[in-house]
Order: sequence, then C-alpha cells, then structure tokens
Amino acid sequence: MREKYVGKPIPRVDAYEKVTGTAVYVTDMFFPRMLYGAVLRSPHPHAKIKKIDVSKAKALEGVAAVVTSKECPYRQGIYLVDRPIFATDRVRYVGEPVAAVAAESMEIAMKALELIEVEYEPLPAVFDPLEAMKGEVLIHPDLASYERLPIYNIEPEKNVFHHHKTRKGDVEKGFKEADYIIEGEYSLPQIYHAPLEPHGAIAFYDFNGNLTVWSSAQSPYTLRNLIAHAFKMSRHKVRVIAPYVGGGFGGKAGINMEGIVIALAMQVPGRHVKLIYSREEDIMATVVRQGMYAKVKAGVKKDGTLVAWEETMVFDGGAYAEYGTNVVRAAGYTTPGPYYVPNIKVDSYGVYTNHLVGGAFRGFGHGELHWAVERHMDKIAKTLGMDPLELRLKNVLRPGHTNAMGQKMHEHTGNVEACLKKAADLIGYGEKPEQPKDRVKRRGRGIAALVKAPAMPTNAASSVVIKFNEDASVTLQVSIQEIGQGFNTAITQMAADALHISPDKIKVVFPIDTDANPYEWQTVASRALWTVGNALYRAAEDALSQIKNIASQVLGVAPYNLEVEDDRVYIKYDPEVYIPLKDIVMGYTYPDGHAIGGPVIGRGSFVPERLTNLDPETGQGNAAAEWTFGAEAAEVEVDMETGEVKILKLVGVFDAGRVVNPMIAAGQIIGGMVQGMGPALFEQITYTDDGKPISISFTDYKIPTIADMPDEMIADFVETPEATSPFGVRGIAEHPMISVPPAIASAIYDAVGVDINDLPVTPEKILKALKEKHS
Amino acid sequence: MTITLNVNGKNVQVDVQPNETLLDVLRNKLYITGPKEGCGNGECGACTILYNGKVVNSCLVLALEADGAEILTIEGLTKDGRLHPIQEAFIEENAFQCGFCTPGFVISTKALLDRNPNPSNEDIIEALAGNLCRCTGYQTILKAVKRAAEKLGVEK
Amino acid sequence: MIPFRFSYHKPSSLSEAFEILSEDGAVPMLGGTDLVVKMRAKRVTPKVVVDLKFIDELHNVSFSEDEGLVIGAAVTMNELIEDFAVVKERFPVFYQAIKKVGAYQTRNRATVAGNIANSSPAADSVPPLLTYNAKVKVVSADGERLVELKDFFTGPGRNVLKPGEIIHSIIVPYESPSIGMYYKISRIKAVDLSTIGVALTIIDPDGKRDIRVALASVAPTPVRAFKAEDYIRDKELSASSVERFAELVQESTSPITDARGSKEYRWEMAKVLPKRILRELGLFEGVA
Repeated sequence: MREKYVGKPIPRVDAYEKVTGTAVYVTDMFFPRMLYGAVLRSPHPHAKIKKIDVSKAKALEGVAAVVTSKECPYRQGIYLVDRPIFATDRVRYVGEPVAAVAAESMEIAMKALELIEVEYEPLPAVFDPLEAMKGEVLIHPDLASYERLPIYNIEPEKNVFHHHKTRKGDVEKGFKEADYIIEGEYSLPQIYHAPLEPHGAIAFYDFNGNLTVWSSAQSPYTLRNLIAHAFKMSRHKVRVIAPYVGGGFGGKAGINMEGIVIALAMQVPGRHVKLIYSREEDIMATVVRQGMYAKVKAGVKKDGTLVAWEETMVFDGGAYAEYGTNVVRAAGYTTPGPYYVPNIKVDSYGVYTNHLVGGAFRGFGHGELHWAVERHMDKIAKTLGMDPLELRLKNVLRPGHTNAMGQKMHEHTGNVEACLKKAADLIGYGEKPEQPKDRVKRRGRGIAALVKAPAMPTNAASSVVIKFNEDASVTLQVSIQEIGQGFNTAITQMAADALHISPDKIKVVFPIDTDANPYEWQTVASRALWTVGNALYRAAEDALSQIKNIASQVLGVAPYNLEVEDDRVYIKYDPEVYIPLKDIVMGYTYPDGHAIGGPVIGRGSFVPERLTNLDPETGQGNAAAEWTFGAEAAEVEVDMETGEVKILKLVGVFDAGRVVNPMIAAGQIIGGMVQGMGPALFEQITYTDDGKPISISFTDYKIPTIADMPDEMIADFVETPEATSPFGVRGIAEHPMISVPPAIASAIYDAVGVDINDLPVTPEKILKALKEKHS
Repeated sequence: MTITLNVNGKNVQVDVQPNETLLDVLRNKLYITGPKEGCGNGECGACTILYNGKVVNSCLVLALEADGAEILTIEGLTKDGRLHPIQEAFIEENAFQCGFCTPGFVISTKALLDRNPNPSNEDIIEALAGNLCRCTGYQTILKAVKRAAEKLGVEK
Repeated sequence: MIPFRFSYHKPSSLSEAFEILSEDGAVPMLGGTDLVVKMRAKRVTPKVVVDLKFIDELHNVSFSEDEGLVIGAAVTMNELIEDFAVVKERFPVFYQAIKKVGAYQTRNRATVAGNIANSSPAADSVPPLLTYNAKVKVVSADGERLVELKDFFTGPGRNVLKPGEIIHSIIVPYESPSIGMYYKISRIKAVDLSTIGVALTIIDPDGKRDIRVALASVAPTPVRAFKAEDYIRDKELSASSVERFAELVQESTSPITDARGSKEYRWEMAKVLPKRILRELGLFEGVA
C-alpha cells in the first residue's frame, strides 16, 4: 500500500466537537414529550420473588408505563442467553432489575418506584466460585435449557457456564522431562470499567411496530441483533443509532441495559423513553470484569526451558455469564500467553456466583491470564536463580513455534522478543535504580510480556461503503463506533491512502445508524483497523475500478493504464492527460449531453480467513486471526513502613504491525497503562459478607487521578507488518492494560523482595508480606 | 420558582424546583449539555463549571442557590466561532479520547490559568485531580495545560 | 436530581435562619458537598434546607495573636487558604490538611464548619484543628456556647449540636509558631477519603516543644492522643521514647475494617506514622 497519510500524527477528526462540548452523547439527546425511565432493583443477592404488585405505581399521576417480567418475559445474551431483562422467578445479584417505570418526569418515575411492592424470600447465596463449583447452591437450575452457541461447554450441576479445555502435547510426559516442577496460585477480584459516561439509552416504538434505539453502544449491529432476538422481532424493524460513546472498555459491548427501556417504550408507542443510569446503577447493574483464581504448575528444564504448563483458571462470572462465556474461553485458549510450551493442559472454568454480573472488559480475559502467567514466570525465574527477562526471552513464541491451540507462528505474526528488549532498554532494565536517601523507600524495576488476539466468532464480519459525492469528496460508511480510540481518524487516513485522495475530502458517517450504515460485528477485540481495513481495501479497489472503467472509455486507454490521484484521473504514461475526478464520479457527461457510468459507490466486505472452531476436548484449532504481542515495564518505589507504592515510570511497547496514527496510538498506550495501574494497586469491587456490593460509587470505587500518574510514561512500537492486512496493521487498543499489574508486581519484588499474587497489590498486603519475610 | 442566571454572558430566566441541581437545570431545562453528569456526587468533575468565577461541581449546587449567579460552561468558551487557546491546546496535544470528561477538564484548566498563568506540574495536578479521565492516562492533558499557558502568555 | 421534595431557604441573617431552622425537618447547609450527596442517596431527607451561606457574618475571617484565627462557618476552604496567608504561616498542619480535602472544586464549596458538622471520622481538617486546641462557636436562637472541638463529636456522623443550633465559627487559638505534618494514607493520591490521617503538630518547636497528635479514620470520631502527648512532653526524642510515644498514639485508636482498609493496617499505621512524621521533620533519626 502506498502510504501518504498512514503513519502521520494527523489531528483527530472528532476534535472540534469534543473540545467544544458539542459532541452529542445519548444523555445529551432530548425529544418532544419524552418520558423518563427508572428501574427498581433487587436488594438481595439471591432470593425468590414471591409477589410483585405494581398497581399503586401505575395509578400514580404522570406514570405512563410500568414493566416487569410479566410484560417482558425475555432473556438476552450474546453467547449464552441467560440474562433476563427483568428478574422473573428469582433475583441473583444485588441490583438486578425487577421492574421499571416510565413517567413524565424523573421525579415521578422515582416516586413510582417506591410504590412498587415486591415480596422476596431470600435464598442461600454463594459468592466464592470455588465454593459454587461444589454445586450446593444452584444459581441457574435451568441452565441446560438455555439457548447458547454450541461451542460453550456447560456443567450445570457445578454452576459452570463454560469449561474450556486445552490439551496440547502430553503434559505428564512434559513434567517427567522437567528438572523443576513449580507451582503457584494467583487471583484477582472483580473490577469496574468506569467509563466517564454511564450507560444510557432512549427507545421509541412507533405504531407500525418499528423500534428505534439510541444507545451508548460499542456494537450497534450486534445490539440490534440481540434486541431483535430477545424481543422476537424482525431485524428490519429494529434500528439502532449510536452517537458518541463516552468510554466503553468492553462494558458497552453486546447488549446491556437497552432491553429495559425498550420494554417501557413498547408500552407507550409514539413516545420516546430515556433511561440514563446513575453511577451507582452503572457499577451495580451493567457488567464488571470477572474475578479469577488460578492454579499453575509448570515444568522447567535447568536452563529455563519450559516443557509443561498445567493450569486451572476459575472465573467468578457473577450472576449471569452472557458475554463472559467467551472471556473464559479466550483466557483458556491463550494461556500460557506469549511463551512456547510443547505440553499444555489448561482448564478454564466460568462459574456463576451471586456477585455482580461479569462481562467483557478491555483485555477480555488476558489481564487475568497474564497476571497468573507472568507472576508465575517470575516465580520460575526466582526458583532457577535466573533473571526474569532472560527466562522470558528464552521461552517467547518465535517463528516455527506453535501456540496453545496449535497455531503456527510466522515471521509476520509479530515479534515479542523485540518488544521485550525495547521495553527493557526503555526502563533501564539490568541497571540498578538509584535508591532514595530515605532508607525505608526502595526502588525496583519489573517487566512482563503479553499477547492477545481478537476473541471473536470465526465469522465476525465487517463491511464498508464508499460513496463519492458530486465534487469527488467521499462519504465513508462503516459501523465501528468511535468510543475514544480514534477509529474515525485512523480509518480516514487509511481511506485517503486507499483512494489516493486527501483526508480533508473524506467524512466518516456518524452517528452510526443500522438503517443506513453497512454491517459490522462489533467495536471490540482490538480488531477494527485490521478487519475494517480489509473491507475498506476492497471497497476502495471497487470504487477505483469503477472510476477507471468510466475514465477508460472517455480517454480511450485501458483501465490499468490509469491512476487516480487527488482530484484527477490521469494516464500513467502521460500524466498531463487527465479528467477531473468530479467529472467521473457521478458518471461522465460528454459535451453533447449524453452520459455514461453513474454514481461511484465502492463496496467491500470481509470475514476473517481460515478460522475454525476449536476441538472441544483439546482446544486445538484456528480460533485467532492475528496476534498482537507486547511488553510492559515498570519502575516503582515502595515505602517499607507504610506499604505505599509510587509508580515512577511505565513503559509499553507493542508490535502494532503498522502504526496508522502515532499520536493516537501513543494515547491508547498511555491511557491503557494508567487504566492498568488501578487494578494493580487499588481497584476492586468490594462486598459485605452477605454479598452486598460496597464500592458502587466513585467515593468507594476509586480510579487513578492525574495525581496518581507516574512521573514518566513511554509508549513505543515495534512494526512487523501484519500479513493478513493490506495496511499491515493489527490492534493495540486493549493490550496496554494487560501486563501492567504483573510488571508492577515484579518491580515491587525487585524493590523489596516480596511477591504479591493476589490483586490489587495494596499497602497492607505488601506490609504483611514484608513482615512474613523478616520473621 | 423562577431564577435568573447569567449563562455564558446571557441572562436567562428559568423555573426550577428546590430538588433540582444547577447541573439538572443547565442540562435538562436550558439544554446546556457541555457539562456532563458522571457521578452526581462531586467525585468526577465532568459537570465542572465556573460559578461566579470559581470552579465548582454543578451537580452539588442546588439550582435555587444559583439565582443571580454568573455561569461559564464550555459552551461559553468559543468566541465568534473560534476556539479558545485552551481548546486548541487540547487538540494539539491529543488531550482527549472519548471526550465525555473534556468539557470539565477544559473549564478546570480555564479556572487554573485565570488564577495562575504559569502553573507548575504540582499546580496543574492540584487543579485537575478532581476531574477523572479513564481514557488518556492524563499525560497529554498535563501537556495541553502547559501548552495552553504558553499560548495565553504569548497572547498577552 | 434529588429524589424527594423539600423547601429551600437562604436567610440573610442569623435570626432569620433560626426561625426557619425551628421548622420540622429543617437542616442547615453550608457548601453542600456532603449534604447534597447524602440527600441524593436519601441518606438524609430534610423537609427544609436552610442555606447559611448568604449570611454575611458567617463569612468573616480574622486573626490576632490574642484572639487566634476565627473562621466564619460559611468561609470556603479555598477562600481560607488562598486569601488568608496567616493559615499557612501560623497553622501549617491545618493548611496541609485542607489541601487534602476532596478536589479543588470541592474546596471552592466546602467549609471547615461543614467538615466539622458532618462529623465524619475521616474529616481531614479536624485532626490538625484538634492539635491546635480549636473551639467551635455554636449559636442558636437561645444564645451561643463555645465547645472544645475535642468534645464536639459523639460518634460517626454525630455531634453535640442540638436541633436549631448551628456552627457560627471555628476559633483556633494561636499559641506560638508551630511545625508539623498531616500524613494521609489513601487508596489514591488525591480526592479520596483517608484510610488513616495523622496530624502531628509541634507547638513552639524551639522552646517548650509541645508535641500534639490527632488522627482521622481510626476511631468512631477523630481522636487526639493525649496520653502520648503527656508521655513525650519534656522527654528527649530517643529511639525508645519515640517508640513508646508511638505506641501510646496507637493505643488511643480503635480502628475498624472498611472498604478503604483493615483494622489491622490502621492499627499498625497509627504507630508507624507518628514516628515517620517526627523523622521527616528531622527531629528523630531512627528508622523503624
């Protein structure tokens, strides 16, 4: 691909709207006679619903609709249809929707909620996934009857919504060959996405049975699909419009709270119903990242060569699995991450508990799996007396190796070794950090690697439509959502290069409207530039060939002798002979008035090539289309008296294939690394002993502020062009968050000699470990 | 009850209830949607406005209290269709991603530079610690504030 | 939106305020940074909100060596520390602690009187005020009374204010120059409630050297460690005396576990931090 704009730090196309406060988010939308929605939620982690009486709420003046599972008896879910829009016979977590109201004002809606009477009978609840696997309390007794994709392997009697198995080589044989067998346990709690914009949606149902939903959605098409499926509607009757999304991080993928407001709107045709979640509702009742417990056993040769890896991961999926089934699967097929191990046995279990619902979160299982893998690599290095970086470099996946699902690595797959070396250089790995004068404060450095592929169905498709306008400007239609990642800017650069025109002449259609924009699976999995880039390439080829075909007739030369550049089509071997592009793109009109051709519309579609489902017993197959490798490093200062940790420096290096916009890409890395600091040091959903979530506001759930920012942060790249992309690109959006926690934990060990294996690494845990070490 | 607000240089009269916050009134009644509700508890700074010249979380100001107040929101920052130097600096440094927190950050920056045209890193951190951003990691925001200070210094 | 109805008043005089405060379900409000949050969550559901910030006399700040620092109830934290240099110069530990309350936006609204009236065990402005022997001037229709800050709190969110009473001003006596530190441990570095906050103030450091300590988030109310202070008075700061002093500070606390930290950690820090502060002030060499 000829590059003129790809690789340049051009300013964002959404800049003016965003710095002036004129960018429109769902919450900023108002309609005439709009009603306001509010939701009544379960106060119990697990209880039978004995009775719901909404009569008083219905009678309240100003109430337009009250909905419960009686009016809306549907379940929703992308991979496993297990999540009711409204709790039916029982509630399974604190915060679960039980009823909803639409009223003339927010105030009336809130008052109406108080008038709804619900009688509960508390049931025994279970909060620990290991406990839940004993099956003494069954959270979904009817799990076997739920609709699901057949690739998910349920074990209903154990509360397991997916058991993923990887069996590569012979792990027992591997352990026999090993000089050392090293075991470890690692865990992390649920965490919350914390986009600054809470979830929100507006629904409108007309008298023809057409439904329009404006939603803060990462996945307009998948949302449409899941709405239509849940409400048993034809796809063409459902229209999703997705304005700007104020941060998603996976939490706004798939379907979320939209069903509630749709159910309300269906009761009041002709009126818009708006439902914007409060921060408390956003934390309690959307999705969080699943918690995880992992047990690892690794077989290693004296020289550090990994020969066997056995691991059990147990995910705390919360009350419903839904999207989370695939998190468990992705973690299962990726472990042990960026390392080559000939013999692998991994069991990844997704388990229901009465905690908040787990779902997709930036990293999609990889933050979790790398916490275990990278901590364990440090443990192996310590046991062998080997440098942790050296151990990693010895075992990284290289061309010719196979990964856990048996996929072969090539030169073009990406270069984790180069990432590790660059990150090591940038953090000053190997040199001793200068220690502060204060003897209670010690500094250390750590490094961790990572890998992640898009976790998606084998047929996750993209499409692009390029419409030329009368003046040869271009309207580009895609359905990837601009959630802050900079997609609209990057795709503009790529389209400019693919069409040989200036980016100033290109507009990406926004907001996304499923009635107008072409199909796109979802804005998830760090796949957009890769997958849409492929579709775009095809669409551009299609448009250019139409242009050249028309011009070829006019100029009397073969289409392959023509070139498009900026505002003209010219003859390659005689560039002074040309036609202005604007005279071609609506068809060419001869001086006598007769015309040929017609409006140029380029069309491109793409599905990933050669992907397969995995063998259910061995997990072998071709589930991942492209892999992004990276390495992250940290320098920290630990206060040995208080256990406080200050992050001095973070480094992230990723093999992006080709960096489309270095300014935006660096922004992704820096932002992701700071998002990784939170769960490393303090973020967690906390609960009371009886299962009530405590950290449901920004007072109790803290995320990093500008005051927590490290003194220094560096984003850098390795560029091994991706062979499956005409632009050479692969995704980097989720990756920067993934290995920050293990890099920090490693640096803490380097500083003060204690290993914390349970996130977050709080001052208390460090102090406790220091005490144990010294006693 | 009717109150009078001076919003971005213009007087407006608006009927409000005691249980409405200034943010509710700005957004839902005056359709000034630049300030956002990110938490409703004064913890995130997305609703930051200048209130009688001081930066506050408008979600914690009761609307009735604000009768007669002078209010500047992000909407009041552009003059004659031109960006304010702070807004230019945010673009040049790529100091935003999803944009939801941006109006709050820009206003907090305005308040900071009004009282301190040459802020140190510590000053910037103190002024912006009440504005949460989940996308950028803050590095570019810090740079944007410094760039804005330079721009405004040159302008003077 | 606050999910219930109430009436709102902004009296311009104390007498007017007292009259409205006598109504059933009336609560006073200053900056509202605590009250509005509680009302939104319906943890407090007043029928009448009496906004005191339009009463001129509550905006006074004065200082003299004899009268000390007098802070009107409606003075915001930022006004206090930005407009009155005396706070930083004469009451440095108090100054440091105010800077650690909430966000800059919060401090443009929040008041010291409100922080005290809210009576959270985590109130950052309180421990230093305890070390400076602050007093609270309480007024009502029936007159006024002066309450020692140390006697003001009766439990988490509870205090000695009776219905109809409001804080008029905070009086911080000036004794002599002081040095010290407010050390706050929290999950994040700014805009967080303390896991523990320790104010250590040394009154007249070059003369009688009176060391005072008070703590936040380690007991049902902010506490002052009088026993520790008595112990260390007139003693050399040696490894053993400081150790004992720190133990006595610790013994003045009764921490619990919550989302921000465990009882055990707070207990331990209650001993670590006084030593840490003395060391960072250069008054004591030892390392724990």
